[in-house]
Amino acid sequence: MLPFWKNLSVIRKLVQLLSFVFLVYGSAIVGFYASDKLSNAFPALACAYDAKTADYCVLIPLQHQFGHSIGPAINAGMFTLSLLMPLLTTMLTFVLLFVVLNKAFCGWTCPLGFFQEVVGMIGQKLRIHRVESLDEATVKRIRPVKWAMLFVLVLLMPLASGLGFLGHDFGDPFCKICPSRILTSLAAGQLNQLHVDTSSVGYMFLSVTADTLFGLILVLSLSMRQPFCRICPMLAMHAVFRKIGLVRLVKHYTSRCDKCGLCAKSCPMDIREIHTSQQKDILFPDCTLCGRCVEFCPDKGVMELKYASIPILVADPQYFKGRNKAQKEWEGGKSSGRKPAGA
Amino acid sequence: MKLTLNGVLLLLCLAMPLTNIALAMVWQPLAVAHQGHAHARSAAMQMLLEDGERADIRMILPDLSEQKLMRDAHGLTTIAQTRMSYFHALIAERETNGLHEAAIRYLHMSGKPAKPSPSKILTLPHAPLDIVPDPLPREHWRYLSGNDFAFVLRFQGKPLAGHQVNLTTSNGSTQQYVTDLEGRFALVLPDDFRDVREGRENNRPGEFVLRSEFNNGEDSYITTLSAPYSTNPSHWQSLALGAAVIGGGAVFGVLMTFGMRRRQAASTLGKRIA
Repeated sequence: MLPFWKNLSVIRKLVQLLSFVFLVYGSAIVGFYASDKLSNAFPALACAYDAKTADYCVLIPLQHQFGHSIGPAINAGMFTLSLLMPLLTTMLTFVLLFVVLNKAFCGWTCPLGFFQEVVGMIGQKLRIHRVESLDEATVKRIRPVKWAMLFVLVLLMPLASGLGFLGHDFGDPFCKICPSRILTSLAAGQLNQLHVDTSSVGYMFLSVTADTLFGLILVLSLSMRQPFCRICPMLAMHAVFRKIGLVRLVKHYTSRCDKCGLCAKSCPMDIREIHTSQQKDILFPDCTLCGRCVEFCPDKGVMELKYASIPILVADPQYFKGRNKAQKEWEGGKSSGRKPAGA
Repeated sequence: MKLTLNGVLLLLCLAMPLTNIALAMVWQPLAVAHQGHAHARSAAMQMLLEDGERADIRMILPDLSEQKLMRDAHGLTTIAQTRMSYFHALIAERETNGLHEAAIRYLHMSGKPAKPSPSKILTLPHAPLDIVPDPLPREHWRYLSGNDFAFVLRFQGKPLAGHQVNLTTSNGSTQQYVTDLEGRFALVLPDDFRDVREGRENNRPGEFVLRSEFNNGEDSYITTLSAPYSTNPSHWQSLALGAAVIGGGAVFGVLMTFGMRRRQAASTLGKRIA
């Protein structure tokens, strides 16, 4: 049996729990006002609408800079390059932080990602029948949505709002529909983000979308893995910069890989390419660097999770056996053989 | 008759209900409009110091440096953009025959972040008798009617226990509070806006002033702290409806789950037959 301190998934859950506490209640640690200054560009969904948070998600300053600064300046014919400085500062801060953990910000620190995993674990314990993997056609249909969310909700709509083409309602449309806003504010004891806003058609549309999405994610998380992560604009932003991050996912392809495919089955984001790829770099756009593919790779040294050149976890048959046994125990002996189970 | 811009703004200000707050030396905004965004916080602003003849005016910047300011003949003080981010403390002080008066207001500006923690600007002594927000609403937050907020009353930097503080709002409400042993008092801002319309942008913020007096046997002290407060969005946001819509989303999720399972079962069956 694999001891829990050697089980990457258990370690990851502990890190996620600590991150959740820090990002939702962290102002008690860093000071009430520090969250406004800490980075203002955290590469995960740490919500500014949570009154006790320790840092802010990068998506809110991005939307505000497009909607409240750049758009109105262009509209007034007063645009100067200096207006891009806050935007560049935000992006530079984001990139600096992103280099440290790469896409692991999704799989290791995001409060909403953690919440979905916890709900999934509850679903497992309640023995709710799980949809372990989405079919390939569905995955292909879903994948472009995160890019649309990034370009339309985070960039275009705020800019159009600043230019006067859309109302003020659409100044930060992604935040208005983000389930993390409702989740983290509820976790901080606030009910004020759980509402339907009837003040305009735009606000009503956005608040109804937000609440519907939250209810949907809550239920879907019980029976499928990471439903919101698949369409999250943060995943798309991470994908743009994934080549510069220090955490890497590496594959040393062997012909045995063709007959196996456990890595793809274990992937909560249904990235089947990690099985078929013969490339060394298998950090695909949808990866959240959870490391499950490495955990469930039964062939020694075939897959590696690395920090720069330092291996964090290398595929190992002994680890695989222990990990699979631990998973079976968690799921009450449901899974068998070489088939990796859910979360 | 030719009106200057300052004159027009002053007339606008005087026409506003803020003039209900006739208490002591107090800071008031010249034009209360929709606030809280970067473009509004990065421009120069003018503040009206009511009853502020001969007052010394200074502003503590986020880097804790001080800036001397002037009050013009109309009572206006122009505050240029400091290009520093976060809280600025605007302080007016006057001493007349043993009466020490102070008016304090916190302004939020945009710019480069300063090194010191924003909490430092609150812990610094602003006036001998000081009303300190505990805490001051940070970015994305504001004083809202119907919500509770806390303050600390200090004299010479030390909490003043069992002392009265008066609240007056531009909408005509008045309330009294007494500080606890730690000089702290909590209040619920009155939900006293009339003719509330739907949407934050459609409701002009009001002003509230906290005022306290103290006599230490030698001198008298009067201090005011003023700040804007906005209409509570609960007037146009429904919590019950929000919970119902989340329930609807959950039902939609159940239907989607059954749909996915059916497709999965059909696909598995198809593979077995093949």
